[in-house]
Amino acid sequence: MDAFRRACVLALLAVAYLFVVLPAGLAARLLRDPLNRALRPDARTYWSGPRA
Amino acid sequence: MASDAPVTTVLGLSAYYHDSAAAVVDGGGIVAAAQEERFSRRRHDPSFPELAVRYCLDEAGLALADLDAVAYYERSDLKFRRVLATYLGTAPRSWSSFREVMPDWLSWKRRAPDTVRERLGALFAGPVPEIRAFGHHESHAASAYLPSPYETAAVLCVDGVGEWTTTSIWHGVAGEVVPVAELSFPHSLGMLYSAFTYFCGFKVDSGEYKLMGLAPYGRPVHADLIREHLVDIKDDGSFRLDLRRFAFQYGQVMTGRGFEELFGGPRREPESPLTQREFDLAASVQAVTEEIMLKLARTARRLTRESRLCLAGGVALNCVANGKLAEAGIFDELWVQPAAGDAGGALGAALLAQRGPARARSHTRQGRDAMRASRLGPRFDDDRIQAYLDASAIPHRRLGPEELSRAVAGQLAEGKVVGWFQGRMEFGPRALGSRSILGDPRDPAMQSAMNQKIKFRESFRPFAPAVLAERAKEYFELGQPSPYMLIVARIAAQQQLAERDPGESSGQVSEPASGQVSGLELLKVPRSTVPAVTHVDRSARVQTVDAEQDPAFHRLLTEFDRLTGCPVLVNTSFNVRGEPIVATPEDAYRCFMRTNIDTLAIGGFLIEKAEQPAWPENDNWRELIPLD
Repeated sequence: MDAFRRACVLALLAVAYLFVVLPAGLAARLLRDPLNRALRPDARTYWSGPRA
Repeated sequence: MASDAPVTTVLGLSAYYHDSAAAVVDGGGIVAAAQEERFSRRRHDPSFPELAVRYCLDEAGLALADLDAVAYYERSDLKFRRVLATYLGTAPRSWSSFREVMPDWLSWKRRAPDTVRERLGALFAGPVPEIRAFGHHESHAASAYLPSPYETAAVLCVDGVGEWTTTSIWHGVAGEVVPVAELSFPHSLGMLYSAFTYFCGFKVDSGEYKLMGLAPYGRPVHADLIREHLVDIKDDGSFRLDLRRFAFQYGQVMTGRGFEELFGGPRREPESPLTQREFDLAASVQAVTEEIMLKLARTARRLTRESRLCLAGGVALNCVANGKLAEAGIFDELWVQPAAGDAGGALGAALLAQRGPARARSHTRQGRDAMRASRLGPRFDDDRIQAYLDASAIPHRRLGPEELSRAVAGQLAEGKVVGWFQGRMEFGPRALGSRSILGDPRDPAMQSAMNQKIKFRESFRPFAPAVLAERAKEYFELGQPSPYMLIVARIAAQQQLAERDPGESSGQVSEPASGQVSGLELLKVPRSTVPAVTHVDRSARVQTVDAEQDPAFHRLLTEFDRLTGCPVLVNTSFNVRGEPIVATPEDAYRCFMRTNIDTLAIGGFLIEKAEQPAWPENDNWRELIPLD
């Protein structure tokens, strides 16, 4: 029963990942990188103000 | 509860990631604080700190319902958003991590305050007080500033990551911590250091200080590669990682193939022989870390205009970097929270939750910090210890405090190793003379004997000194007190011996024919009059012992000095590799009997190894303790 439940959870996660996380992630990256990964060699600073 | 009602008695908690802890504060200050691992005997225990909570409430003489509030050390809702954003930002590579962690996040982790309420309600009778969650870095900042000796200060918090913040500058003023600037995940100095920890074959979140200890064996030959390919550092100390070579942001390992290409091969397998590459990598990331910390400090000074600095966050445990900060003179004074990692967040959150007179009183300390020498854990009086010794038929002698100090000092002067279990347990990762193993620092063989026969740990790892505070300058180039062993300083010139090792100045380690590099080769060459606590670069992680703050340990050091002329002792934590520092008399005796410690001084009792019955365990116990 436990193995069955784990398999169901995994399946649900896979569906969520494939149909929500992956497309949303790709779309989000087209607009703006959620992780702000871009290096800016010419910038003077990377500091940002306090997060609300 | 009215919003302006005083909040005085608070239980603070950190849990669910690593180093869970509990702390209780009241109108008189910090009452108790302890890490869960000490009670559960599970190193870096991340689980709900039930045992630590029970201890703290017992110490305070309180029931749960007597508390004004419970404080939790981070905002799990914001952290969940960061976790989701990270998966979105790294899909599809993040699938394997997503499937592992999402069930817990969806079910209970994202609502940690509710989870805490449910646990407290199940464990303790009576209503659960209001639970307040504070920011992770805010909790760190509070743990650094509020117990510090300073009325106002700059506060710098640097760690792996909290919710989003990895690096933050605060202004500590009038009992508040005001945010000034921050850097966000995934750009993290803690993650950078942990990535190299992982790549050099050590465990993340526990092996970082091993990497720090390895650094003096190498040269920073890769520092330029790190600056060019891994991290863009600005003049103001802000930085971003080039994530293309890292894996921590999406996977369950820290580094990707990019690291292997950059540094000429795969990561070192854990427990395999160390080579010059690891020594040089350690030296290189240490150099870059120090550079960033110095720049961060200069920016903190500029933005806050304060002359005193408080530090917290896991990177504040890098005491070599702290030593460079102290030496650089950017600030007039430096204070590091002894529990600078996440355990200290429990204390910071508790202090933040206080409102009214208790909070206003936190800065009337006339230059003394409020940490009570970080002795915030359980004590065991002589009656309790006697009952244990009698019940277990353990041969012992009972001595008065002066007699005990004389006896122990005499044994140390003869080259014996002594387990020292006195008073309240320390809060934070360092043993400060309450749960310590002590030795004679003048003995050149002491370092290897302690590593191999007592701690059962890697041979390259140095030991640290405790020194009488009033004599510290004779032995170490230390410009300020260091009561919590969080600042590394050079051995004073008058204690150094002339350079004899031809490889020393270049940092090269001679390689035996087998190709395995051994730290023992360098460590056998005495560098000072206290070789057992002198690292290969002639530095030491110093603890200054003050008579007022720690009379028992000060008395012992004074007696040792009287016998030998040396006011310094080796002070290492009372545990073996992989296990938490001992907490109870039972833990202490077990560790004593499993190792080659000669004598145990526990409370008013002296226990000699030669008089003990055979210990009913074979050496297989070592396999039961996971290596750290």
